[in-house]
Amino acid sequence: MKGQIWETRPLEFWAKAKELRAQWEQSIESQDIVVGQGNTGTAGTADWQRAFPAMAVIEDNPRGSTIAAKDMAFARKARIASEIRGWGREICGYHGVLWGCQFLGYQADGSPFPLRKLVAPIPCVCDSHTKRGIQCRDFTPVPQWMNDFTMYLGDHDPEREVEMANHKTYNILRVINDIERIFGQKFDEEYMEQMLRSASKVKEYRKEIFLLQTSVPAPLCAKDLYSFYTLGGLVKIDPQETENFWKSVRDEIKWRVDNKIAAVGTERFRFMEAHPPQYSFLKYYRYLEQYGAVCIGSQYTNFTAAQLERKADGRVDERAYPPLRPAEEYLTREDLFRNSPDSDVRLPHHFKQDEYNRPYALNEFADIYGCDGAFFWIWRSGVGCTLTRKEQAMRLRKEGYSVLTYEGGAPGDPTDLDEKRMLENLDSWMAVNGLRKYEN
Amino acid sequence: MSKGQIYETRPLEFWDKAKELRAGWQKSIESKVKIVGQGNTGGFNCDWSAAFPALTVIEDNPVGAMMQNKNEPYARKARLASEVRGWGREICGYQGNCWGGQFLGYIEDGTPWPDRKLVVPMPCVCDQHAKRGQQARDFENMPQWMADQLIYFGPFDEERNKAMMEHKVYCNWRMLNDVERIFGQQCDDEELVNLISGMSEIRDYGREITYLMGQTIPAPISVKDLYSVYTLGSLTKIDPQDTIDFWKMVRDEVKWRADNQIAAVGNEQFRFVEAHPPSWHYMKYYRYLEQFGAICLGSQYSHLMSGCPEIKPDGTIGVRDTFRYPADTPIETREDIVRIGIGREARSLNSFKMDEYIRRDAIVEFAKIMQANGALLAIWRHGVGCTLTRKEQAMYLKEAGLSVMHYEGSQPGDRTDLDEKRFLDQLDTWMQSLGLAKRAN
Repeated sequence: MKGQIWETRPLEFWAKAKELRAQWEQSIESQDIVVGQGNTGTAGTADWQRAFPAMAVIEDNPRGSTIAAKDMAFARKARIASEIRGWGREICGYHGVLWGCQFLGYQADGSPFPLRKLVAPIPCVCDSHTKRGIQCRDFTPVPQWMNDFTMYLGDHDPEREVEMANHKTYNILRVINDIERIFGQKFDEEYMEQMLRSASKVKEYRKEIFLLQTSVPAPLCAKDLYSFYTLGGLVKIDPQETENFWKSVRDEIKWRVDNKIAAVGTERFRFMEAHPPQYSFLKYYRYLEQYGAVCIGSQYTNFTAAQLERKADGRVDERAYPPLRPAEEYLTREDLFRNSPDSDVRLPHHFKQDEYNRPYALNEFADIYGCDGAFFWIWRSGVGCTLTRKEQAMRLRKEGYSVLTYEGGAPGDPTDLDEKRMLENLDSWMAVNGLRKYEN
Repeated sequence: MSKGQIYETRPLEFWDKAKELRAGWQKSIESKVKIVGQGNTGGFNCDWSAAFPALTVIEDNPVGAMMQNKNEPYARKARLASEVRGWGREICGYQGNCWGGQFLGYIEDGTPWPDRKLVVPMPCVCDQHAKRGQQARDFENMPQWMADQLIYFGPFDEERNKAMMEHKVYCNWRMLNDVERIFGQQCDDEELVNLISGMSEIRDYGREITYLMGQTIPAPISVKDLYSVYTLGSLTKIDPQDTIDFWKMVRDEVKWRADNQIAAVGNEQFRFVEAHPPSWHYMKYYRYLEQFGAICLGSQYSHLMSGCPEIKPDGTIGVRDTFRYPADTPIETREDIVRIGIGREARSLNSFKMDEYIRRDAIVEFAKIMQANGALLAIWRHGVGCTLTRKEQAMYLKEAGLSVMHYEGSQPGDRTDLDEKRFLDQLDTWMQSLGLAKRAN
């Protein structure tokens, strides 16, 4: 390839990723399970739904994105079914796709939409995420549970967190106990413990991957990552399979780094993002690769693993958090949940918290990943994801990064995106950075 | 009498008092002797800062609104100072004014910007409100306290409430004690009790005003009147007794107007409601619509002070039942005061935003209480957290037979993206579609 600097190879774990995704797709089509609509409280390090024998908690994503990828015409039809019920760009387009299937009553292949039997909405009053569960319950009355998104700004306050932790633990225990009672399914505590231990290992693998991602050339790009980063999280697969998969990813990424195998053979400009990209138009990543520009990800792509920081001695490592209670102490059901998903009950890993607590977190991220620039989306209505984007751009520019912002409707909805204009903007951005397009 | 007038109308008599109180507050926050904070009510349901001898907590609003009103070029300059620091339409333009004043370092008359000495940001991670305090602290280091906006959807859960309550009590109690320690000021616990009970009295007056507006045709006051005074005693922090006296005066006058059919809009023939804040910088659209005989009765937002009215099973209108402490609950310690201040429920259930999740047809109920024929719902770009469910609410209102119109703007306090001419054209079309013609005065 013209302009190629680094060797590049297809990812070997790709086939396995596709297999796992297909298995999950198949598993949620089973008619013998209780189907729920949930949130990340069911994923991450505490995917409690798997500890019930016949339950699948399904998130709007990646279901919505799969539908959009497989059958764009049907996705549009589903989104219109949402729109005529009053749901526009204030929700993610992919959520609109899935809600639309529910309103239509069938899926892309004509099979009935599996109505949810329970919901566990994300607790965030200003955000469309809460509505993901609520609207299911509005559609068909089903049991609903909800935790709290406890937060405060500033330093970790262990005294304050005593009651916050009690409150959150009560909530999650109640979900588990109520589900046992209502659905007559026994919660398998040993399996839950196994999942927690497995999740810790997965987190370590992912942390290593994100550390390796700091290498030049980058062994992975954000587009690769978006293709499989939900495996074991939103895409709920067997814990051992998850662990094996992420180990294989770590091993391959390490090998690629050791052997300078690049995600993008022409890499000469590294950029980062913030929050979700325009999921409906991910080809802009490929477009930029023609200039040798590679997107190394964002705090959003990395947030289910570790957030990195530059230590006082110059090393890059995971941020220091209050220590988790040793895993050996899982003696009761309460123990299983008291320390998960985090020891700091206000979710310190969350990139959105950084926008309040660590104003220079993106600059630190850019420094760690050796970025030259950043590309930020400004969403109309934003799905809660626009606040501070321009502030972050200012801070990055101050430190010499080239930043481009672009406007769209919502991450999963192409309605308000002018693709041609966007590509022209990207051309201009590359040109001002002195980069020219390579022809294949 | 103007052409088409149906009802008698008179100027509001409480207007002078409102202006006097507002001016008094404006002067008070310019005083140099006080510790100036940036914050919110912190879950006390009253202005807790008034219990300290020399502490004033100032909100971005109505300071930002006042800046805009007094000196538009300066407000634009201040907003630009915010914009060049990365704050655009994701924050309210009036907050942009206030933050800009801080960045510039001076207020519109050239006097130095009163830097904040403490912040109490609103706890909402997806929302710019938390940034209101946070950015002041980013600008200059100072102490910060923050409660939690605890929520869950569904019926009241006694057991869950226990843990939530302990958490909130701890947060608020700690803030009072910390402020005492850091600033060397004694919190007057008795005054705090008075403030809390005073707010309860004010809420009762507020409820009566809401009912009188909704249940009387013609409406004795319009939302434009209400917006001119509704922050008095809350965001505009004035003496607690003055606040009670003022709202009693408003209630009395509104009741008299209702009893005597004195209208806010003399040609009232179309009543409409809204949701969330209006286009603050362009409130003349209310006056424009009055030419068609259209009057705005407000929104769940504008009537927030009075709580949420509801239609009872017997058809009467009353305040929603909420869990409350018995009136004779003993108050012996500061912790007791904090508990009473928070209320019986730790989650913030009265908020109209909660309704958008747990009582989706609440806006229809509100429209019925207000005897509205239509609704005007703004769709904001970036919305300041206020756009979610606006179209869904329109669906419910239309189903209930109301005529609904939307208009788009960047956000309530910033005119940058609002096409005023197009907006007025839309209003003409809306009115014409309802068979209403503009009457020249």
